[in-house]
Amino acid sequence: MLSEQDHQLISASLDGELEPEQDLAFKRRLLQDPELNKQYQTLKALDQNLKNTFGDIANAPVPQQLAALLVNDKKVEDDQQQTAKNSHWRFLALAASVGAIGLLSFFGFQNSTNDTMSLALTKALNTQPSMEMKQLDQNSQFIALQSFRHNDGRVCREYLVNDTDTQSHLVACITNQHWQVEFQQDSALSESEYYVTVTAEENKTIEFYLKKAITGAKLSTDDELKQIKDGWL
Amino acid sequence: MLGTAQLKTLLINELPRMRRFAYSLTGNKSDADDLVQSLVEKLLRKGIKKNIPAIPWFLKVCKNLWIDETRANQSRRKLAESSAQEPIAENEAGPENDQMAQILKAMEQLNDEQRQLVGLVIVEGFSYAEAARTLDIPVGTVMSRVARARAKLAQLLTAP
Repeated sequence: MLSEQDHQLISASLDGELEPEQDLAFKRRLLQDPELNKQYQTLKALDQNLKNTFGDIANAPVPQQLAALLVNDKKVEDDQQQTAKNSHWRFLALAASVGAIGLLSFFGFQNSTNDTMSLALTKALNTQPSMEMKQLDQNSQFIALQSFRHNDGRVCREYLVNDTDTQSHLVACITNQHWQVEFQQDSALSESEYYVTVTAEENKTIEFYLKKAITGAKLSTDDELKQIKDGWL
Repeated sequence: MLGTAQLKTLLINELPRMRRFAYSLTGNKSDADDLVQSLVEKLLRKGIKKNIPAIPWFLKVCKNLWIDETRANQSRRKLAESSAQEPIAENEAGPENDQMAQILKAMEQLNDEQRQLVGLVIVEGFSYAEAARTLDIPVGTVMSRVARARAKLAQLLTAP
């Protein structure tokens, strides 16, 4: 049974209200606490359902009386026509992007020049939303902690890869259309360390890197999903 | 004050957000559009100062109108409950699917304050500070109410 404080932590993390240090500590805790993680995933899905449900009113036509109130010449009418046109374009763009993702994934896998990054990891970086665990192979798991825009404009992801005895904490950025590892820190993941938070020294290292790299433009859940759909280009 | 033409342009631009927020309060698309109509009428009548951030102001007025309407019609909830038993009228747009219907049903179980915050923070993406200013409550209250609202919705939606 989660405490009210844990519910507040999950909620604040979903709303992007935690300080970077708090957020990192919370996300590390998520990896170690299945109950907390399960509730986090439930609430994350709930948020999306709420947005879909109330966003659905956009599909209902604006009542004529209301539209008439807003008429400034023909603006409303034009706006509605534009919206209808945009809907067609959005559909075409979506169809194109689905095709593009398929092609990019194919060529991305074929042409990957980064020998150290496995195909499974590349795929996980391309397709996994943050805080959703992905099994890379029999022994290793991937989880993205966050996505952000680097000072130099590149899109980057901070993530963890755990295998049986090691945890790697990495940051990779899209460089020349491929994921390139920018930061890596490995630590032993022994039984005794599993439930212990990272040392202050490790924290400083990753914080130091992130403070230098992030302009404050952490990608929201919606922005991240858009990047996943658009192939991170 | 902002000129009427400018205000109308602003209202048209923000219409999707106002309708979405109103829908999160009322749980019914027709009621939401009625509420937005009252909101637009009031804003056009009263005007808006030039330097006020528009959307928080619009949603604040929308929330106040909804509260006034709810208070003025105390039997509203009973009516809604009884009409929920009746089939949806043909010209009334209902929820698109079962999942949306469940979300709307669960939202009815939230109190007014929680519902406002779900609309502002989760649906509209307001920061806690923005939501606190819009609703005239402390940031800490926003944080705890949003967390309780989420937990309650999750509980209602996962209950067998």
